[in-house]
Amino acid sequence: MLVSIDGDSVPRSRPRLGRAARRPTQVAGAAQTRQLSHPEARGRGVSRRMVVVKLPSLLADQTGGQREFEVEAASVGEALRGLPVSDLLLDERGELRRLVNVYVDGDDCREAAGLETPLDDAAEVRVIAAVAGGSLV
Amino acid sequence: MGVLLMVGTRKGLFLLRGDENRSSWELEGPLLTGWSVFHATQDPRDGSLYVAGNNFVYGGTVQRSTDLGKTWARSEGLGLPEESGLKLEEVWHVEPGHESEPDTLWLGATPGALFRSPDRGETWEPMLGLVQHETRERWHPGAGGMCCHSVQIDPRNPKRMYAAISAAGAFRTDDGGETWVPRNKDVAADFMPDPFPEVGQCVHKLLLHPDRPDRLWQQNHCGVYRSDDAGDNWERLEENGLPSGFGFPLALHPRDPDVAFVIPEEGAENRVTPNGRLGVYRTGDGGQSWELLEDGLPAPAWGAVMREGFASDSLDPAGIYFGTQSGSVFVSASDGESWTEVAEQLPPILSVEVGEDG
Repeated sequence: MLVSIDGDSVPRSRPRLGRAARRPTQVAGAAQTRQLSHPEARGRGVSRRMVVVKLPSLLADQTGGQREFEVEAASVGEALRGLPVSDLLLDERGELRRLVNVYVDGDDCREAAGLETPLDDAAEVRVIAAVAGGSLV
Repeated sequence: MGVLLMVGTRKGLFLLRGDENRSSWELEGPLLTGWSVFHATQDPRDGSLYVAGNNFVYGGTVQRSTDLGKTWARSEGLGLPEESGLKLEEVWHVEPGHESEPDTLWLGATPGALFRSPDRGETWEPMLGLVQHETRERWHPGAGGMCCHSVQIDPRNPKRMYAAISAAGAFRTDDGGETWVPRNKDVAADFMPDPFPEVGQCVHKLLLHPDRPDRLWQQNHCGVYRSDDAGDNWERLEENGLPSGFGFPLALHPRDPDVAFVIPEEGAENRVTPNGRLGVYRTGDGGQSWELLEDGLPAPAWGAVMREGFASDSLDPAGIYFGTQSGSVFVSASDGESWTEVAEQLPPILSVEVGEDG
C-alpha cells in the first residue's frame, strides 16, 4: 500500500496508521488493534509492554510530523514492525537496516538481542541513524 | 499549459515551472528533503509525479504525488524475494507504462532489478525473469552499482520492452517482462577479456524513438550506438565527430528520429566534459555526423551530467534540458541551437525530466 505522508493513506489490509498519525491519542489504539491481529499476539504467552518509540526528524516527515509513538510490544522488533515507517527501518527480510541504530533506555539493542531484545514497561525505544555513511550523500 | 521541470538532486527535489516559451522560470523547493532523488518524472497519463528516492540509512523508496508536489505518499512492500538471494539496494528509474495499461508502472533498481506495479505504485512485483536471468552470473556492477536504469516500451505493443543494466547490457522482452533476451551484438565491453560478449556491457542510457520504435540509441561506457532493428544489431557512432565515446546522458528529439543529443565526457578515467567546456553534441542524420552546440553554454567549464539528467519536451520547437553535477540547469527552446542557464547553485543534479504544469 501507499503510506501517505500527509495522512490521506490508502489502506489495504493494514490499519490506517498514516491517518492515525494526525491524532496521537489514537495511535496506541491503532497499534493495539494491529498487535491483537498479529500472529505474534496469539497464544504465545509473551508479555507486552507499553513503550514509547522516538523517531528522527526525517522519518517524522513520513508520518505527518509525528516523532513519538506509544506502542504495545514485547520486543524491539515488534515495536518497530508496528510503526508506519517500519519499511524504512527494516529491510524486506525483516532485518534492521545496517545504519539504523536502536537504543532501549540508552542501550544499543545490537549489543543485547537485536530485534528480539525484550522491552520493559515504559521503556524508551530511540531510533537514531548511525553516524557512518555520510560521505555517500 | 506551462512546462514543469522536475530536477532531482542529491538533497531533494526541485521543480522549475516555465511558460510555454520556456523563457521565464520559477523555482520551487527543495521538496522531499533528506532524499537523494535519483529520478523524478511525471506520468503523462494522469499527471502524477513519481520520485525514485534513496536515503543511505533508510533505503530506496518510490513516492507519488497527485497534486504536483504538495503532498506525497510512499510505496510500501518494495523489496526482492528471499528466493533471489538478493536485497533491494537503491531505486534508479520510474517508467510509466503503456497507454493501454494506465495503472502500470515500471521501476529499475540495484542490484540488477526490475519491478512492475499494476496499481500506480501501491504494490510492486519483481520481474524475476530478468532478476534471475540465466546470464546473471556474467553481470557485474558499474561504478554506481548494478543499476537497471533504462526501461523503454514500444508504443505499438505493450508486450515489447527494453531494459538496460550497468553492466549487464541491453535486454528485450516480447511477453511483457516475463522473459528477456540479451541484445548486445557489436556493442563493446573493452573492460572484459572478450570485448564483444553476449552480456556484461555497461549501457549508460538507452532510448527508443516513439515514432520509429525499432530505432534504439544508447550511450554506453564504450561508445554511442544506434540500432534500427529493435536491438538485433548496433552501429557504433562516436568516430563520426564526437570528442569521446564515453558519457552518460542521451536525449532524443520529440518528432525527428534521426536526431539525438549527447553530452560526452573525456573518458572513464576523467569524467568531465572534454576540452574545458560544457558542450552538447547533436546529430541530425542518425549519428553519421555530429556537431557541437555551445551557444550560451559556459567555457571554461568542467562539468558532468548524469545519465538521468537530460530531457526533451514535445513542443515545437523542441525544448531540451539538462542539469549538471555542479547544480546548474540549462534550457534550450530552439532544438539545442542556443542555451540559457535557468537555475544555479542547486545541489548536485541527478535527474531532469519535463512534463506539464497544471
